Amino acid sequence: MKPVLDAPYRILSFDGGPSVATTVRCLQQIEAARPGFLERTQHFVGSSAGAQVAVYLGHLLDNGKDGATALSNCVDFVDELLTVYAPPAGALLKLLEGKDAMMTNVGVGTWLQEQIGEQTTLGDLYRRVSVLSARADKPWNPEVVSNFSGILGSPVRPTEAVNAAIQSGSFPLWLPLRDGHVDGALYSNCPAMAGFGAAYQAELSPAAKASMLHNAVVFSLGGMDGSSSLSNLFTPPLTGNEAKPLALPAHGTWPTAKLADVDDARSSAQQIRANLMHELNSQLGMDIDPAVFPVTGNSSWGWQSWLAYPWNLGYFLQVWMNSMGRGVSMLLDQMLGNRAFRLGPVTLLGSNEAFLCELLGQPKPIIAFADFTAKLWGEPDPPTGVTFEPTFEETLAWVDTHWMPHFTP
Amino acid sequence: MSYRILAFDGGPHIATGLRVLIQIETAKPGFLERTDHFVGGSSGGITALYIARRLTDGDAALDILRDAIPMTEKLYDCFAPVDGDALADSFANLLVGASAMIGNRDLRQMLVEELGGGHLSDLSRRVSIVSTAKAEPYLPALWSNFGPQHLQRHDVTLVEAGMHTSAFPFWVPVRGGQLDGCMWTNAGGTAGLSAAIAAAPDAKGRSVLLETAVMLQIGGNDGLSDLSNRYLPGQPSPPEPDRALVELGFPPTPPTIDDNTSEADLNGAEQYALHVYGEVFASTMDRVASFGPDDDSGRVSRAAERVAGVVKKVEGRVKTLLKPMERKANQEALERKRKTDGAEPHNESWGWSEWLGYSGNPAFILQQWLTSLGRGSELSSRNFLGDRVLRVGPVTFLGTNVALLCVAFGHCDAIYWFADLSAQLWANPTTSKRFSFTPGWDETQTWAAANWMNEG
Repeated sequence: MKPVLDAPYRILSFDGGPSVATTVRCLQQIEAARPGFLERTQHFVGSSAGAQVAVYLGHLLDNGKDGATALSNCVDFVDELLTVYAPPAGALLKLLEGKDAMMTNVGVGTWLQEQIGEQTTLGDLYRRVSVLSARADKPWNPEVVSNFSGILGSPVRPTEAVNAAIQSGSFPLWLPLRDGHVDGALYSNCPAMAGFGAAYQAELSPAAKASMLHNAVVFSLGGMDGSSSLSNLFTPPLTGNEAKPLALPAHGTWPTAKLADVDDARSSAQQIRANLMHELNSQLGMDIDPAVFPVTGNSSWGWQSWLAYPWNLGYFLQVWMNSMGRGVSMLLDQMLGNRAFRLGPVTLLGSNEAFLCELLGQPKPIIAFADFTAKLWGEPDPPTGVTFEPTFEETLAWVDTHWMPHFTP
Repeated sequence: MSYRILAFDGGPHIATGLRVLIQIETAKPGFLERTDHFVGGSSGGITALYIARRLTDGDAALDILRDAIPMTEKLYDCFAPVDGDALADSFANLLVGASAMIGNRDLRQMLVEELGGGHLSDLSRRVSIVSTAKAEPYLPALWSNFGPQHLQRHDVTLVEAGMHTSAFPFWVPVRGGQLDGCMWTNAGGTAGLSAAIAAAPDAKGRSVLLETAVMLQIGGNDGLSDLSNRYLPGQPSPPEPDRALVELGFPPTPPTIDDNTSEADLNGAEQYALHVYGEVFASTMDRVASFGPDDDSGRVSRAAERVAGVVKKVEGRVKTLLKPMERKANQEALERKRKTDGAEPHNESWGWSEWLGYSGNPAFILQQWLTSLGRGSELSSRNFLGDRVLRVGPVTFLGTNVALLCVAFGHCDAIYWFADLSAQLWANPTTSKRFSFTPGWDETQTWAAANWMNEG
């Protein structure tokens, strides 16, 4: 039986997607400012890449790593994860051909086995862990696999931790199905509510349930485009009168080095946008000039506005994925009030653009922007005009109030 | 004292859901009247608004539910591109991509007629409508006529609430900066529950609400009967059509549903579903093929040429570059087979041909996504309410994804035909068991008696 300490009951939740590169770096800064933060976590929850991080952190803490070391290792883990998930050359064409997923899961599986251990099961983990996936076999169902029991259908399987992590990260078309399971994003890319629900239903008596409702604390991490003054500077215009953004530069090298400042990040982000258009053209043998998709600007959006706006490619994906994260946050706000907290700083590289970078086999720009964003977020004296919501100070204030008190190691 | 939440998913299966509710109301008179809180998104949101408005007017439950069926048919008509030039224009809009497929003028007119000129605050029961604000930052929106001040939207008209929650991307324009609720969640049950919790006055009130809340979700449960999802990607192709049945034409005469109805009696229905699948594909192909150089403005032909050029280039490039990869792919296939035949775990390396192009279940990923979300909401709610949550959504041969495509291609009659069939098969206790509907009729009755009607 896993331990459930007295109040508060702390749940740390990781969204899927490339945002994990930024959020684990933010956690590093929180841990540095509030030592013992990670150690206090009782329940890790994750979906897709977030599930892999959740399992990995649970495994490291079990093996005696302190919070700072575990998070430092986790940054390296996530950076390498982005690399092993990057499809090989020609994968985009394989995607279009449609016979198979873009890549196998051999590389991902090998990497996870090396880091977590081939034989490690979810049940071996001391802290509570819940991993989301969706079953594609008939009848397909969302699934939350946990290492603690409950009265409902949350299965407790003696499954290998690696296998659960692969199942949760089997994004359709990208990786093969794993044992009939697909990515947790098909259930919810933001797993915080599912994690809290799993903890709530595991309590058997009404009094214990009431205690969980009144004492649970949920820290949800993801990518929230629009969460800073630097994010979503370019959204498709609703009206034709809005000024056009800067022109895209010519195709060039991918920014991979550390970004010096906001201006450097701004020009790097524009370079990435130009490169994404160029790479899509190049890999698919196309010759699409963004100018042939003039965004005339009205509220009757077609796919040009939703998908092909060159300064925010795949905007539909951004709204869809992040609305879901914010939707879950809103539900938790309503249920838990101030005890639910959502953090997902994004600056100049939007979530959809990061996703496209990964799709085109370019994880390094994602890592560069993750590093830049987390540092800027933690900066006590940010450049004029740069604001985040929530800020580092607001986050620490919440941590002090809700996460740190009443800890029994 | 139970707090009863009735939640409607968005999508085409509201046609079946209303017929199911009529059966429940007939068996348990007073069922609808007992509802404390209606929740919905997209077509489910409009249905929630319609029912709440009619209950406010004091109309009888069965009248409301029966009238809601033609109301939703009008709604589908508003979303279905019409025949002839307008149909061509709609798909031209979709292809060119400069605007949504159709406008929302007809939808607004229909909502004015069906919902009247009132506001959310005029409704006597609690209502929560799911939508998504396309602002910066874009946010989920839950418009309720109760609760904490910041969640209340008394000032919103019923018509605008209906238009906002159903502004499906690509299909109809963004309305007042708001998008279809499905961009957040297509199944709003858990959102409604959390809104009710937020409205509780204190901690004790929240605990009491979680101990007394009861929720019925109305959605589409593909795969949860023996008649649903008989063809899935990775399985053999569906059977060849039965020539004798094809010659009789479609739609077939609806089968008589009674205790003796067997699977053989439903053969015509299955053939009709396969026919509809084919029609959906054919409609797509016809529409694409019809984009010639003769359109008035030339905009479609330019777009079509552009797309055709891209496809041609991509096709050539795929063939060229994939040749060296074939050997590797074959090796991977052998490895997969070995793993499938042997020890677990195993992989299924599906490409888009499985996820999107399988003829027995086109756009399977859409079904998985829509229904996983619905079942995800059910799972989330069950975590809090346990067995006091029930999700009902009988589906037989016409899956949710194909039904959605039917709306796009003007085959709405097929949706109604299968809605009648599915609801009848589900509501007959014998056929409900025979075809393994989950939940079945008896289970639903037992649940309703214990949880909703508080009988015994």
